[in-house]
Amino acid sequence: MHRRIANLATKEMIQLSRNWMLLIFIILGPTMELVLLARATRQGTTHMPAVVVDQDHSQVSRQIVVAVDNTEELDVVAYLDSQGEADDWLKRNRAVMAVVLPAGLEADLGKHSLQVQLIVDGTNSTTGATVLNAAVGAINAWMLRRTETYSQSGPTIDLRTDVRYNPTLDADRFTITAQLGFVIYQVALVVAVAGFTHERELGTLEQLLVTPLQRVELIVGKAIPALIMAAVDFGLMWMIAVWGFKVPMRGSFAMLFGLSLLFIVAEIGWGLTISAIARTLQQAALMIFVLAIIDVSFSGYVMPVSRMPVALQALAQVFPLQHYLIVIRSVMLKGSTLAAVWQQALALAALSVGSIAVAVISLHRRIE
Amino acid sequence: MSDRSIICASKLSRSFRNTAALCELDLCIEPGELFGLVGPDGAGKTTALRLMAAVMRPTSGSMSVTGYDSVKRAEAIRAHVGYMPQRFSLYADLSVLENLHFYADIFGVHGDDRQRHIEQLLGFAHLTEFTDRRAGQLSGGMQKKLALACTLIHRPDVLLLDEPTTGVDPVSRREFWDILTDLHVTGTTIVVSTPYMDEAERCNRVGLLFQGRLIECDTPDAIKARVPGQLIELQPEPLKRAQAMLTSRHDVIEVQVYGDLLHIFVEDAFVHMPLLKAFLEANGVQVRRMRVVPPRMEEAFISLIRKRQEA
Repeated sequence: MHRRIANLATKEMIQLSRNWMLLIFIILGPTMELVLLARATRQGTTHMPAVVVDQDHSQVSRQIVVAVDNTEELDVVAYLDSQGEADDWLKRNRAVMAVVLPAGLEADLGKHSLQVQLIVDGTNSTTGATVLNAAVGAINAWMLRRTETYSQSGPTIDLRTDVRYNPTLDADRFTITAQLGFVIYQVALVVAVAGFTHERELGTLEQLLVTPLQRVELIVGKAIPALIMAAVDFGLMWMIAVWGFKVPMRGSFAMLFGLSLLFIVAEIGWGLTISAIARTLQQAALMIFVLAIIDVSFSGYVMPVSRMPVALQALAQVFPLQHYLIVIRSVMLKGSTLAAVWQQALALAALSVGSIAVAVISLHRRIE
Repeated sequence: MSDRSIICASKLSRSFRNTAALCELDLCIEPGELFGLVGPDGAGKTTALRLMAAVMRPTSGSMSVTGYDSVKRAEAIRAHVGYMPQRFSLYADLSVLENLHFYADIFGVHGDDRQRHIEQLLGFAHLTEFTDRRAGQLSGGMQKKLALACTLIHRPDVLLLDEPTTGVDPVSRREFWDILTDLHVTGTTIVVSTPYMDEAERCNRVGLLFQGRLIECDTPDAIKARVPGQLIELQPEPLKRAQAMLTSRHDVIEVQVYGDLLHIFVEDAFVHMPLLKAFLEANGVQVRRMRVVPPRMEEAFISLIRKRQEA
């Protein structure tokens, strides 16, 4: 019995050693994942954009701004004139925090309580909590130093926090919306991959090559059922998220659906490209897996895109998941309109057309 | 090499990495011909057919099919050619009728004619009672007939069949060839690759491929006539000793083994038959049976290949 087991194991090893793609994946896959994740968690949340509404324009207000800016986590990028403008910046994802300093801050310091408002974008709960703590810590530290320096006692600054879009900084909202993106991603990819690779393995692809079918027709013909299935899945997942998990839906469903369709098409394009290139179903499955790891790493889910080296940031734009996560969170949690997410919408539209074009080009109309 | 040829290959070659599958093929097939492509495994038959169907690009050389260049006008060729690959390549999970409808749609076969044509094809292929059966559940022979029907849906001028009867029982094989002969009568040019020599006999002309080269291209009779001498079949015992003895003789042109039979080529059977029988028996070999047989494609084939290998 032992000999037979050894025999079988040897045969498996020989086969494994001949399957170079699987080998690369086994060695490279976890390595890549580990490196990317380690980098992400080590970096943490840093240099997040913050805006200031300074209604006091005094030395005190400037010192507070410097204290906040000096934190690793926050960078003050703009001085705005009103809270309305600050709200707009938050809504448009241009800042994660707004510090509102009221008029008379310096004058009334020490005399009675003053409210400094910290408005935080809570859609990404991890980031939100981190920057909030950083700002609060910085301001408190400043207050302590001031008390020591000026031996001032009496009423101090009252920090009022206002966490938008996700008041309880519910990690739920963040992860579930991201999950919506992932699920659709998976469906679109998997269905698309089965498209050609299965046919190539069976031999039915050879028969299709001798018909008048053009490459574009082949690709679009395969994409349509995948699109329908992914769209239906999206609808189901959305219902579960909103009615089951009580994720808020503050924006327009029509717009969300439309942009989701663009995302689905973009991912289907990737899937069809893989299935046009892969020789076997196993190869296709491996390629998808690698693509998924890369996509998730670049999606901003684990590590904010802005924190990546510039070269990688440019590369990250090619992966649709990143743009879609921004869209889905903005629309569902912030009620954003097209005006707020037009850049992402444009990116998704360009990627959907582009990935389908790449799929068409990758499909060979002859046996090579 | 006439201009009327419906398929004309000129110095056509195709290599894969370091193997040359097809080497400088020069071949012209006339319209309405039933042409057989024979050769051992790996001779290049499938490659030749794929090049004709414009499903593969040649490495060098050129070919025209129905007047169109196979590299530049591949799509035009596909409209006039029906190609049936070796492996069953229809949709196993679709029914017989669904498969036919699919290919009819793809090839743009519409109108009133379409239904009649499909019914005609079903009858032709003896599949009328099986329209709803899943293609994957048909027997091997029926699958091939269905594949043929789908190939004919757009009424092609040229049919390219890659080993259509391999793995099919003898009765179905005969039925299949009856269908092919009927088709041939209507004027369709048919190019069939086959490992079965008896099928090669049925063709107008036969092309013999060996290691990527066309070593013979003529009518079956002409090819058989090319093998020198006459053929004697005998059943000696012990076989090995008889084979060794006969091979060493100068007046025996060639010896081939067929199970427990020997086929030997001699110049004059009338003269040599009694001579050889006496010779064998004198040396302790019992000869059960001995007679003159007409040479078949099989013998001609083996003889020609062997000569080629020895050269």
